[in-house]
Amino acid sequence: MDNPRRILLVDDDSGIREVARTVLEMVGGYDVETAASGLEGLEKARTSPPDAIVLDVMMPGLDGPATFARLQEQPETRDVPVILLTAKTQAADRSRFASMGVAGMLPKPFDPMALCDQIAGMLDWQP
Amino acid sequence: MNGAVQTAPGLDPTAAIRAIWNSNRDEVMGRVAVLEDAVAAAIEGRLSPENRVAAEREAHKLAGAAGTFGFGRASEAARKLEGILAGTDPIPLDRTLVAADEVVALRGDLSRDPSPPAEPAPDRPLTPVPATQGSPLAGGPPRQEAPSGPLVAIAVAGQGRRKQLAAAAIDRGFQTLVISENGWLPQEGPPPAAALVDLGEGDGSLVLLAALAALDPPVPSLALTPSNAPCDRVSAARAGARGFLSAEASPGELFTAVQNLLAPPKAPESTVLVLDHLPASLSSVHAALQNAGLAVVGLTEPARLWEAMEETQPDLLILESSLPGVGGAELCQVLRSDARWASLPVLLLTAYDNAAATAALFDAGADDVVASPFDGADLAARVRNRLKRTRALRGHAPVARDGDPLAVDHPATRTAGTVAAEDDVQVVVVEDDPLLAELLRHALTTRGYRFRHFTDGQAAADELAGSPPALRPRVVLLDVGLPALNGFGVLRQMALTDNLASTRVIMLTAHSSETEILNALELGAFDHVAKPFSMPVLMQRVRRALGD
Repeated sequence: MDNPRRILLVDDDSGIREVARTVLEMVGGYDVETAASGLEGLEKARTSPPDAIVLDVMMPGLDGPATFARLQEQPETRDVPVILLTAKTQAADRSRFASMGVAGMLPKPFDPMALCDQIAGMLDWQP
Repeated sequence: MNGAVQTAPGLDPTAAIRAIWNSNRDEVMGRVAVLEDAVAAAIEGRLSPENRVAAEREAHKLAGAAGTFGFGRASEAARKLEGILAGTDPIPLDRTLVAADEVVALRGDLSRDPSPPAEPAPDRPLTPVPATQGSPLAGGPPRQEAPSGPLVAIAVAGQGRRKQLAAAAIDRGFQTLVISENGWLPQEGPPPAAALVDLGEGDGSLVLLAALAALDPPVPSLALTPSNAPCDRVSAARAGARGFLSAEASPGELFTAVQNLLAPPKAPESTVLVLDHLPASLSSVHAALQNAGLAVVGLTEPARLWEAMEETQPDLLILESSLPGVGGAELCQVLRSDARWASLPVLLLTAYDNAAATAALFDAGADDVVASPFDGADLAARVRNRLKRTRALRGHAPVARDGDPLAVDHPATRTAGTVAAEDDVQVVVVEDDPLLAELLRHALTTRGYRFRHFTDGQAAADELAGSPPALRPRVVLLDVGLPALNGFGVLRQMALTDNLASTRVIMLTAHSSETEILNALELGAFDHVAKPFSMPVLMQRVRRALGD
């Protein structure tokens, strides 16, 4: 296929990275780049801006919201839609995340088989 | 084309996810180990703030990863652990015990094969979703609004009979869930509140009874006995049946029995005396216990305690530990030295929720220690259990002692090494896993049981299987895989020396076959609990074995 959409996935859990990458590639046909930390994600997003970023909230060092704020400051990444991976325990924070301007929030644990549909739905991507 | 494409034929994402799980399993189990260490440390009151933060983070990560890989129970356990570990306030003892149960559930769930990835949990309707043979007979389409009323599981042969029962259930405001009589229980949805199990269906019904009794909380079940076929009531009772009814009983009779089974136990006519110098705190204790149907007498002045004791003749005493002047611990010690009050159950309320302070209160003779501020329902439950156990022990003790040739009257026949303190041991734990033994020690001592611990089977048998035995506890928690002599061997020696009448043995089984378990019950084991077990469930079994 020509020019598939590119997704950058930022999560410090290697298992989650592998599962999400696998389904996004196999089921969604997307081109997936991963990063294990907020800083690595920022760098990868800046040097080669993806079509969307999936960002875990709780990470050591630069966490999801802080990474998102930095993405908003970089001209190269300002307009890239960001989906946050949130835990159920962070329900109270959800309104705060929404007001920051993220494109969507995906609760963890997520169903791998529904991930592509959920992400495409949030980003209004047509199959 | 941009975006999503069809999955390439021959590529199975589910298999890929499974492969990813297999390669990540060790790392995930490493996280579980961190949590296990943290919970063990929390129980012993030595969890450092750094390790606590690290463990909370591991729990958070596990909650997300486990669920994504298809381990729903593990994900839920990790989320509970995250909640318990969150914050910096000391973790109350009862919460650490919950954490211990959840860690066991976490490892247990992750040790099985992953189920196909499921919908994320939050939006799952709480309607019973029975699989394979199960089907809801009442309550309309399963995915629509759930009908109210207790859910009664029905494991009865014959579709006509099942429909008849379901109709009778609706009339009485129950929901029903038909389950297979072959020991199958639905994995999804809420557990039933009670169960009707037909014994005419063979061994499967016993397995089902045992499975229901092993749930947390245990699901009470009534066994239906066929009139035209032999059935083994003893085995059914051992498996956990709470009552028996003829299989020919009318549906009305059956559900009346279920109603009786579910009705809250009638409040005993018990009086609790509460001494707390702070009126606000006194009134919250008062309210919690009164709601539980107990008669409560409140007192704010320690000086009036003896007078009030004479007047009210309480069944249980609650003391605040930090009374002005004379402390609750001192009062407790004084009470213990007074013959009239020596056996009165005493519960101490303490604001200092740390292991050392709690241990000191137990040393002073407290039967139970509750951290204040407390949860009203928890306090009421502890008081009720304590009252129930005290009554049971009073009714039980003289019988057990009368026939004992080692009674204090015959010091000459006393076996060397059998000191008076040995007579007081209520529970013996035979377990070689130090962590589990420590958890059991904690669970038993905080509930006020006097206990003794053996790590090897032969040492335990030497003490428990003499004639007469050197040690005659009420209950033995007996692991199977033990050094020197395994648990079945210990049990056999106790049976051969006729020591299973005065001592009830609960087998802690891990990989035992059904045959082995049945043989153990046949030999005279009182009960068995499969590992990994829930500590509250095991303690409930211990209470039952003690004679409740």
